[in-house]
Amino acid sequence: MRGLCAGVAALLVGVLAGCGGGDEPRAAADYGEALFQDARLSPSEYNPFSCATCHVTTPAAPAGRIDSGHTLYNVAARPSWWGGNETRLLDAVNFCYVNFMRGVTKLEADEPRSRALYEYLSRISPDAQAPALPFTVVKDIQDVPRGDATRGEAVYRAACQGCHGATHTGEGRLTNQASVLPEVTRDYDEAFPGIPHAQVVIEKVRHGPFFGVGGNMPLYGTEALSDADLGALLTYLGL
Amino acid sequence: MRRAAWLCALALAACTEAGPPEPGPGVPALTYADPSPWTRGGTTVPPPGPSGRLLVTNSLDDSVSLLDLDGLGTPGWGERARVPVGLHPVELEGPHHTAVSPSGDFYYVGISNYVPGGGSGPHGAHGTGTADGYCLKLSAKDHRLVASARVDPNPGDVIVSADGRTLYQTHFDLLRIADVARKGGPEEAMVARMAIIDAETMTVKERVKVCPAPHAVRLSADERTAYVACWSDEVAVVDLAAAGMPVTRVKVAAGAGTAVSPRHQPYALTVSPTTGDVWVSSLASRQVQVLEPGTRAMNPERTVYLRGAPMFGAFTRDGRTLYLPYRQEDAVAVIDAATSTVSRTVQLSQAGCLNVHQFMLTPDERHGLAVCEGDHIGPGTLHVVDLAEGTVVSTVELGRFPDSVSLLRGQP
Repeated sequence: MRGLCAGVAALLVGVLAGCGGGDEPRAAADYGEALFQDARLSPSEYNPFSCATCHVTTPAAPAGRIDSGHTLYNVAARPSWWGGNETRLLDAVNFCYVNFMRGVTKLEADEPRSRALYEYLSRISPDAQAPALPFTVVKDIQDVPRGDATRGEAVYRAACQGCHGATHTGEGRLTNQASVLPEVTRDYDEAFPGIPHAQVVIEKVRHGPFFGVGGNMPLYGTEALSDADLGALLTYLGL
Repeated sequence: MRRAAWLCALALAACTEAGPPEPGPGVPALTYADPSPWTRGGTTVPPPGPSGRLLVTNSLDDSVSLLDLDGLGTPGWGERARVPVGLHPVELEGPHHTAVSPSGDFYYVGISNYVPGGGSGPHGAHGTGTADGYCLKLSAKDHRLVASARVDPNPGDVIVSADGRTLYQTHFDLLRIADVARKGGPEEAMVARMAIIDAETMTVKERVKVCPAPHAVRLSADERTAYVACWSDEVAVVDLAAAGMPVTRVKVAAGAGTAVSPRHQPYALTVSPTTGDVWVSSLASRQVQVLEPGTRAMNPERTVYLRGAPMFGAFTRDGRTLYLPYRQEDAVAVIDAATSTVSRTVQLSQAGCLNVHQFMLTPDERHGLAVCEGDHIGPGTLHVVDLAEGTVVSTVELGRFPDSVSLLRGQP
């Protein structure tokens, strides 16, 4: 029996050592890339978002994808972020981390996970002179002209479906916390009496959790989503 | 044997499980390519020159303009940098007044969260002044947030004690006056508080109920008394050294109004460095009224009448001259403090000043600096005044709605 246990133990050690090269250190940037795509970067059990939920890492977003956040290609080389309102990369990252990913405390600069994430962001930033990217917040909410429903459907698939799932059912949504569209607007009469449903949706899209709106949906600046596309989306949603 | 097989299967399953590594405490051993994380990109501001650096808040830009005092008024002199300020980068937070630590290490900005046009919507309450304000502590070295204190809505003025250890933050809460009046409540319910904050820890030590919509606050030379301009046609005199910090409210004139119907609207204060007299700038009556500290009474014979609403002024060190900016004409009245007469006037409007807000003197008292809000749509301005000549020698465009100016001395 003792021999059998010893044999099993040896096998276990051998197998685990074979996982990922055993104790060999791995490149922090590789680990950072994994963190980038993992919602567990945030310790909150209620967080469904990873960095990759809202950001691509290629120079441009692929067709059929509209993100609230800019591409993070070259992000580490920019002189500022959030439309010039953050001048330190870690502060810009922590703004997402705390406000959208429900991270309780900010990432510290020297923390291993933080460093790994930085190394990945640095790796995808080859251009040392990358410019800052504009980010325009629509401060005062106003109605927008409605657009074409077909375009609106495409906008929904590109910008909304990833988190909210299919319209009417929510099938495939990222989290049960994401509302089902447009059915959620039925609740607006109680939550926001007297306010047109479309206006509430516009404010959710344009303000995210800010300006007293609440929730943790990231906001769409005008560079990410034009008023024309927003109007088309509202048409598609029947609002 | 079955158990052994199970263990082997478990081990193999662990090995073949797909997905990223657990990002919890068990972070694997990593090799780093960059010994200085999070240092790429971004923007840094060079340290100030030997003469110090001016800080001007831009209320509708959520930014602070930085201007080095070296080279003041010479051709090309202007904004060194403009840095963002606030708790986050999305909403307009309305940075209002500033205070600077005597050591030059930190500066403090009141976040008013009261920004007309700063956001609207069906359920957003921002911009109505109902949100609590903050007092921010920022590093003068890199302009990053060090700490903050949550205070009452509508922060007004903020000042720091001479030793740098205590901040006094008022709350210009006109909304409270309106709300109480609408409900038919008494004036006492309109009283807003002054927060007394430990500048090191940014914890609020005391909240003293002072008066309706207190704005400017200044300390006596011994810092045992705080004087506060109150919208209710009063000056609140706070005995900081007495138990309970009792408050005495003094009407600025006979026949003065109330919080709901003020006739004078005290807004700013300037304290004489030699006599301790408190010169009260009242917006509606366009008067500068004098409270004498010995009697704690107004002396109406010393009232100065201007052609526009007086704002935040500055005394010369000898206490003989008070430079007081006023609106409508957008000019600076040069007041002889001994006689309460305007000896001359420096016009700012021809240089592009609109809505002057504050005037301060450079340490050598050769120049004055006037902050003008502008029209709150385009940029505001800072004007450098040659005091001997009485002329504007330099005009610098700033951000939207510049509000206060202060001087950061020394190397942070």
